Amino acid sequence: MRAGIVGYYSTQFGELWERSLFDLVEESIWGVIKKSKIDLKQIDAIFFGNMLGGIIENNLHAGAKIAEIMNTHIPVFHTEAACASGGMAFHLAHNYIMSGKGKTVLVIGAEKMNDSSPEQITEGLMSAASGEEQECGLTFPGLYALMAREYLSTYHYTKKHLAAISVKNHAHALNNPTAQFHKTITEEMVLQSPLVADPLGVLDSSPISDGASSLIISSDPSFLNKSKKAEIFSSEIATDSISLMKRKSIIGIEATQIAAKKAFEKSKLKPRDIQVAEVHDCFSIAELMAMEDIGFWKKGEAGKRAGDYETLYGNGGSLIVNTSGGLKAAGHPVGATGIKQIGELYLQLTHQAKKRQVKNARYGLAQNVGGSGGTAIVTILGV
Amino acid sequence: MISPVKVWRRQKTVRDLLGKRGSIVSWTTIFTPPPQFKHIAPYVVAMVQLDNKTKIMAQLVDFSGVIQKGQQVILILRKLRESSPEDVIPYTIACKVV
Repeated sequence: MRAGIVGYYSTQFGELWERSLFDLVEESIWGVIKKSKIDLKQIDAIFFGNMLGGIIENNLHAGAKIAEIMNTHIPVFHTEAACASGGMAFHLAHNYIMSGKGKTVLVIGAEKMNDSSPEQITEGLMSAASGEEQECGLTFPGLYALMAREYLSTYHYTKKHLAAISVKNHAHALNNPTAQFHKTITEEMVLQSPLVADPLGVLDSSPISDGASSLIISSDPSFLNKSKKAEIFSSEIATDSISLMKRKSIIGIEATQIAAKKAFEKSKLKPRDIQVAEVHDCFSIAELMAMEDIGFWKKGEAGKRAGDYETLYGNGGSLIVNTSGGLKAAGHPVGATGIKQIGELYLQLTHQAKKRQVKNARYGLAQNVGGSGGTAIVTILGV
Repeated sequence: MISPVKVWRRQKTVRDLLGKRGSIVSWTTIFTPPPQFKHIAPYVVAMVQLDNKTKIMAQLVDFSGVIQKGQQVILILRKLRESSPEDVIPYTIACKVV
């Protein structure tokens, strides 16, 4: 059996003061149903990725809320894996179809973050780290800063090599209408930006965002034959210790390495076959590690190759990374990110990406990370 | 409110770490803290490899010089988290340069 993505819709990402979490969810549901030209009755189940609703908004039992919005009685499953909540929703939705339990599934990812203060959000996000890490006052920027310092020191790179990631992703977001930022930045601006957790500055970091994204996945031949579709070749998940201090290495994410290896094996593809990738650049250092962990670049090479802007659109490279703007510039509504990444690949592979369309894109890869690397999901699509 | 039961449970393991020595692997200065640490920000958190090879995370206190990888530290007890007057005081493991 084969399953494909037959529709994608994303709300605007950003500071959406007039919209609640479920306003955004509702827009993305009706948006994707309209775009896919699907009848509500044809949806067999729903998977919903969201991290913070229960913590900062006192909004749990989201399945019943979604049932109310859609006036339906079909099963709705809520997934939570920190920033990989969306990727996990997609992974489980794909499994649901491949097990034969249903033919057509709606996958939603959403997050509402701007209603809370930065301190509340920082604390809420830290619920995805270990008790010991919370107890000493660490934050997610702090955890990635510990990795960044060790990476830069091990391979003799500087903060300039990190800055190139943010510059590239902001350049890409200029052509993504739903991105949070439409502003060109320079390496100098990144280097001068106020520190969040040394050596990472504000412009090394993904923002606080609101947004929702939805996909329709189906194995139903009647959809797959008539719709613009991208086939799901593989969706693999791996886990690791929640505590950074208990990992073998802090200059790579082993869960990504394992999930990527499995995803390539299952799809019978190699890293060089991929033309477009969406990787989890929650902080600039994360994209450098992702490029090595997935196997696109060798260990220790990422600083140099990122510094040369090899994966920038229009630079003639064979692989373009984060055409959406990535988490840095498209925004990072935590639960929505994993869905937006796969949605961006869908747009690229079905040639609907307009100004940011990568020519001859046939295979795409998405990497979604939860926490500081405790969960990783790697998905490969193709046409 | 910090649950007194949680503080009581945690102190059993904290006690075993006191006085242990190790070296700094990596460190960062936190400028955007969670609410309980707002009163002491910015502060330094270090990843420390203990002499028995296990790693822990701890705030580096009583130090204003230039931090270097491999710097030797000793684990001590500090009140770092802000709590309300009715709370049991939540002491936390911290480290200082030897």
